[in-house]
Amino acid sequence: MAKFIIRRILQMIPTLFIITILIFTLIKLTPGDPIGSDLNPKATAEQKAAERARLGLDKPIPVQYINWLGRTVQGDFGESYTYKKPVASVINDYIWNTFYLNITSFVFAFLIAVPLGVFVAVRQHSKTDTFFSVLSIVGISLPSFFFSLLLIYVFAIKLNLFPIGGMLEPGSTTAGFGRVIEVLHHMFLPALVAIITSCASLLRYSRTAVLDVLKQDYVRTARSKGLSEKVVIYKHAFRNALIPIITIAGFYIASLFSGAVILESVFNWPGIGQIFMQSITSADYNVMMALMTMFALLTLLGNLLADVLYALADPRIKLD
Amino acid sequence: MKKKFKLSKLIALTLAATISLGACGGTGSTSTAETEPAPSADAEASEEASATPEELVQKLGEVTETDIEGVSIINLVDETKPNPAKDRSNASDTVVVAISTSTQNRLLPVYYGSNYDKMATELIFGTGLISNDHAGNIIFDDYAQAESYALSDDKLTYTFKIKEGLVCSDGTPINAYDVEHTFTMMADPSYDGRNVSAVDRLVGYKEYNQGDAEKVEGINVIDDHTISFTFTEVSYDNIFNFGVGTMSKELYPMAKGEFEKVKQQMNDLYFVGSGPYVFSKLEPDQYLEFDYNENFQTEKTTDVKKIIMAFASKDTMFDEFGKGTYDILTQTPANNDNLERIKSYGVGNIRSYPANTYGFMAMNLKDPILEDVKVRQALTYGFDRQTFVDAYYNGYATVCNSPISRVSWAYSPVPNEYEYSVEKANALLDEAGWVMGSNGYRSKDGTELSLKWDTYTDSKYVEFLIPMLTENWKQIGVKVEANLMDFNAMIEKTFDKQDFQLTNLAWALTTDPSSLLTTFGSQYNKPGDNNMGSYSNEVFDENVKLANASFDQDERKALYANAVNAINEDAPYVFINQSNEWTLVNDRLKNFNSSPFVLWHTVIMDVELD
Repeated sequence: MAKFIIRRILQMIPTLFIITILIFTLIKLTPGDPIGSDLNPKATAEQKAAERARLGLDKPIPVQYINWLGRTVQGDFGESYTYKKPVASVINDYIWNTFYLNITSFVFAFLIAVPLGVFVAVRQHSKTDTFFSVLSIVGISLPSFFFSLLLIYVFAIKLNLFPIGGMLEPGSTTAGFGRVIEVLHHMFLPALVAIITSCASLLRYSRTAVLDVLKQDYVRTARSKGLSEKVVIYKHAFRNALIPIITIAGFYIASLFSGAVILESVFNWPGIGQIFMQSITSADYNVMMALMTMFALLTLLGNLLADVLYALADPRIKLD
Repeated sequence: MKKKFKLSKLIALTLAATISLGACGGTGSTSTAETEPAPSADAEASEEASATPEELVQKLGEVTETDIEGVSIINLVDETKPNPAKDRSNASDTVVVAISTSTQNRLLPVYYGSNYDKMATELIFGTGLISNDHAGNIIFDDYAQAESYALSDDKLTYTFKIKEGLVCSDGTPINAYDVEHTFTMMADPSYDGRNVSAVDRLVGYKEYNQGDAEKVEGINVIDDHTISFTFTEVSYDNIFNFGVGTMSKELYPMAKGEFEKVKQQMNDLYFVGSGPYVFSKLEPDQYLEFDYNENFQTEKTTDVKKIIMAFASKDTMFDEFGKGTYDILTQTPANNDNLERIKSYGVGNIRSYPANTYGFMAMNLKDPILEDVKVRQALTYGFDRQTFVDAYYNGYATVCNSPISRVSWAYSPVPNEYEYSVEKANALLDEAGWVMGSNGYRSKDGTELSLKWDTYTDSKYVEFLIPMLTENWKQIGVKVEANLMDFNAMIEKTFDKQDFQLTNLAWALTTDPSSLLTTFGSQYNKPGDNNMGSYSNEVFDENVKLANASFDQDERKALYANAVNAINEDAPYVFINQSNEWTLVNDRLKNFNSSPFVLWHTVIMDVELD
């Protein structure tokens, strides 16, 4: 196992390297640079050129890439052009807000959708199954923007049970446990939207996974041995059905840290999604590169984690 | 008391979703934050374009003109409805102001990022040596650190008298040496902020910035409370360079080349100045909090002991206002839908005034078709701008014909209003030799009169403009093809490459019209400059240069009128609109007197809380 993990991590290095080259090149080929946006409009062409030179933007793209890589491997992501402070510090200001929201939704979505998937799978073609199938299609097709505004209208404006948006009341004076309660109160509606929309697709995955397994020979064998349906489902079928679910969970790892842009924007949640969008509009290269590289790395790690979990879930999978 | 908008700045523009060009000159500034969709001029289209604003207002509320030019109040308070803002636990001493894009948290006067950063720096550090009134005149109020200035006979040296007894919120005194320190910082070789234009015309700037001079020769402390600045050239707008809040030399020490040290303090959120409010808290992307500065030098008292600048979501900001989370909502789009929503809450009024921007279609005068003035005039005559403005802005905008704001002291009516006239447009095109063909489009020497219009995506404004313009111009035999692209890509194509025929944009206006020179002056037509269409007219250049160098307001007004008349004749732009913007104010705030040039943060102290 350890050997497997080490080998996979070593394989990640060239993959990540290629990914960063691609992203870097694409970003640089996109028209526009940050100079126009932050310099005084009175700046002369000379001043703009000097600023480009100071930032190294006048060099050929491969040279810029090597400079970027050299800094990054030493842990220096550079300075944000917009915020004029180290990129790591900008990301740190926002990423945890995104993480709190996403981890909450992630945990609840899996806790609800996976058991529900098993529940409806063993009742295939029943009314219950049809009901949840329809519901999950509705959930998948519901635009989260519209759904968010609907929830805001009902729960925040009409019923006044929750705040409309934000993570804290402006000028909040809470601390300690009171602060946690305040954040949770603000998190309720955006988390609800995230849970419902991800539950809808997770439910379909887990239902399909369980149904696939139930058709396998070994399930038939288990049944013919006279095992109780409970044992068949939970001991034999469910464990095998976990494989595709783990794959999905692996992908979710990266999304825990990448913001849901629409959700964050509608609910005014101070997360990384908005910062990422803003870095694109303002061509804040260092922030864009750091975030995209981080998302790529998390995706690779999520895959690795999924592989490791496969072995734990299914003894037939050997990792060496 | 009023200041605000730094006089020479340019606010970004934003016509519909995007823009932000920096704009027309001045010590202007644009910020990246504003390259984002800002709701400001992005009026949503309303279906009931048919009701005139007068009819609607009759239906929805009364309009009161204020004694400030251009500012009116639409009364929408409904006494029968609850006003939840009054029940907020902090209602007695706190005002919550909502802004539409978050700050970049660069809250130093020499180094601010967005315009909202600048407002915050002015709360903390004051507005610099000068301040301005509603008409854009220089004044010395409580927000200013100087009490007067004198101009030398050669009009090159400005000598300021700094107020006595000025201290920062922590008690550190502010004197002429601190002012010298502040301006020297911006001239420093390691300074990478946007305010270089506040100092680069001072005598000795180059020697200090690029050489080994130990000080900027043009900055001279005469005594503890007197300082002079000497410029290399005479220009009326030199005075606007002094709107930079003073930073204490003791609190923000740095030697030449050490600007990093100041940046580090900024990133540690160390913001201490002599302005009316003290920085107390920052929650990134949520809100900034300020407490009243008990050491602030003023004879006034204030009800507003705490200010919270909160970042609003465009999608829900009106609901938050109705629910009482915000007391003031700045720069919101003026249109019927919003009017009805605001009316439905009944908790506040609208302060309405012309936004400091105008929208236009720029033409590339180097293009073989557009170099002909008759074609350009025909394109202006041939677009029914009034119908467009009525339909898109529901009447909360006017057709614009001048690059000077209609509320500016420098505004004069133009000789030709270019009222929509298919006949005049056709006659001009005929004269220019463009012959109507059987397919409904004109051509000359085998070339069809067909134009490519670069514009940007995700903008309601653009979505409205495309069909109307295409249809209007088709009637005069002009084919136009809209080429939609990303806003940044369009800016690069238009300004840096000057590779375009037509493009629609908006400029932010400065309070002083001196920026006309960089927008239309013939020497500002190089790639990257603001005169992207390469307009060139000697009469214009000469009049603007004289006006910029004159210190007599009547004379300046006449000279600018000559310059604008040249533009009016030459039609380098199809001018389109100057729209209104609304500031929503909860009824519990009385005596809140903002205006286009005096923004909320410099009148907030005068607010009386119910």
